[in-house]
Amino acid sequence: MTSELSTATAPPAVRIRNGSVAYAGQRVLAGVELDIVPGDVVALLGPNGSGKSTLIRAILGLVPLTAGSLELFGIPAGRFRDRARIGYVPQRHTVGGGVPATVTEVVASGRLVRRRGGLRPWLGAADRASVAEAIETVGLTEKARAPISALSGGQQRRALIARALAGEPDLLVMDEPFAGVDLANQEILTKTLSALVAQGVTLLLVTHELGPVASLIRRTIVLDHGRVAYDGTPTESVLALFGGPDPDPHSPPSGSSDGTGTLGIIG
Amino acid sequence: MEILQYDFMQRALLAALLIGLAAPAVGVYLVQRRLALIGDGMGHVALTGVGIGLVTGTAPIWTALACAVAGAVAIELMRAKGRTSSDVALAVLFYGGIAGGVVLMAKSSGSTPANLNAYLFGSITSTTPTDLVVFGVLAVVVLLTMFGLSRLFFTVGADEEYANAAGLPVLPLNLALAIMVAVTVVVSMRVVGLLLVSALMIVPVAAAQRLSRSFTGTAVVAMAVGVVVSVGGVLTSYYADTPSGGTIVLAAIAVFVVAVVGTALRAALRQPHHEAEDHLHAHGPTCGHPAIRHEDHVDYVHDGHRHAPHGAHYDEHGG
Repeated sequence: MTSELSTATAPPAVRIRNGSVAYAGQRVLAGVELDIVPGDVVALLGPNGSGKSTLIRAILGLVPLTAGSLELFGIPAGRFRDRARIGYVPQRHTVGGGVPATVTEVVASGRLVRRRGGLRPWLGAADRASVAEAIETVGLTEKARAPISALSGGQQRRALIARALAGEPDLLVMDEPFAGVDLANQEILTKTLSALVAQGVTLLLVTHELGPVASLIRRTIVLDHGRVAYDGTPTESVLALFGGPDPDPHSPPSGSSDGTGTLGIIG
Repeated sequence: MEILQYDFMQRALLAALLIGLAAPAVGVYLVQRRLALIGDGMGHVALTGVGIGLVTGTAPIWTALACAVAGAVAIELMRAKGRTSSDVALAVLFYGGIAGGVVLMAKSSGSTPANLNAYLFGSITSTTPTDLVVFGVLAVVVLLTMFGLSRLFFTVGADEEYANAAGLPVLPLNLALAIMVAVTVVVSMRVVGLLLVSALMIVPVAAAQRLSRSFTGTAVVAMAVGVVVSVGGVLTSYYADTPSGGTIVLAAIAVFVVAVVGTALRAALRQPHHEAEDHLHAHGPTCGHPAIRHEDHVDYVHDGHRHAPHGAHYDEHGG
């Protein structure tokens, strides 16, 4: 969000010091140092199995750090309660489960974080307006009352972005926002993201290809075998190595391209 | 309606109304989470509670409630651990529940096969006035909880990982839902019976989701179906002298079949339409094809013909 404070004095949205994560003794992240300041637009790159998803899952509180420290907006993660400030767009775009649910119903569930304490199941006028605005931002107003399962993959991804936006986050974390999304939807997504960046939202995108958002990205972090291998401006050589486009945008790759996985990480 | 002169019928119909509302209100979240069979297992566990009540001379409602709630908490904790072995552990718990119930009931004085049958499959004559008061209070607790926590339950059921990331109390909510399932099982045991109780949670929802596009709509339609089949089933079981549980469940399945056939017929009878060729892209503001507003939707001019969005594909428009 736009703030009176300059970005230099506001606490970083994310601060990780010597962060490590291990699953069942297998080191997935090791000694990660990371500061994401308000207004940053960060692409987290790296091959499959490099620890990208684990890093954002740690930031979201879904995976505990096995060593090191994590601060969110200046508060140690263990004491951080204002989860509404972090919006999360998961990689999956199938939500809703076994019962039909409309786009509005799913997006409205993202509003819950902003109205803690009340047990009223209905939404007030202000909440409904925020939900409608979030749906408008991703260009799904025409589909607001449609069952989310009837939407294309790219439209469902946009609905999940709207769900995150309904909570009016300061930091938006997106896991592979372009995977499985057709070109037209990629362009709509890019427009949405540019608008959010213009509003001052801090973006952290996990991706294996920068594709259409390359021009938005101000900073790239490359993970390799659980360590930060590069952190800086998206230079040509870094993008050529890690941010290359998919060979065919209509058939996004599935699974690992290099098969290294999470194995072979040395502490 | 001369049957309303019978006190037991009044009680059975009131109980049917309560469970007709409560069971689908809980069941919609079980179907959402693809846990349709959990209620069935809790019915099995509750039978051990009934056995304990009969052996110790305690009112079976309370012992059944205690066992079902304990079972619900155990099931949910196992599920939260997400171990692959939890599937087998659940099976052991469920079979243990029904076996324990049958053995205990056989050992209790004054228990007959008819008594066991009534608990397993429901019997309209078995609801006592005390039962009805307890059922009423419990059903209201279930309905208020399901209504008050509906958005939270929905959010967790739609995407548990997201709910965790959003800082929602996922485990307490899942425990609360499991306990509501357990309470509903016990409330329903007199009328529907412990073996069929899960059907009244699931089948009305299965019918309703054919008829509705939204979650709220599905829940409301399912509760309406639940009331109709429960009350209708109790009335039918009085006139036809059939067990109430089986009659109610058959009525619910009849509604489900009508809903499936009806929606299939409606889709088939819709104006035949011509699907456009497969697309490599979705039409939209940036696809480059000229957009034309056409009544309630937008057509896109694609290679000289007009494409109109229809569900997941495009139709050819305007001949």
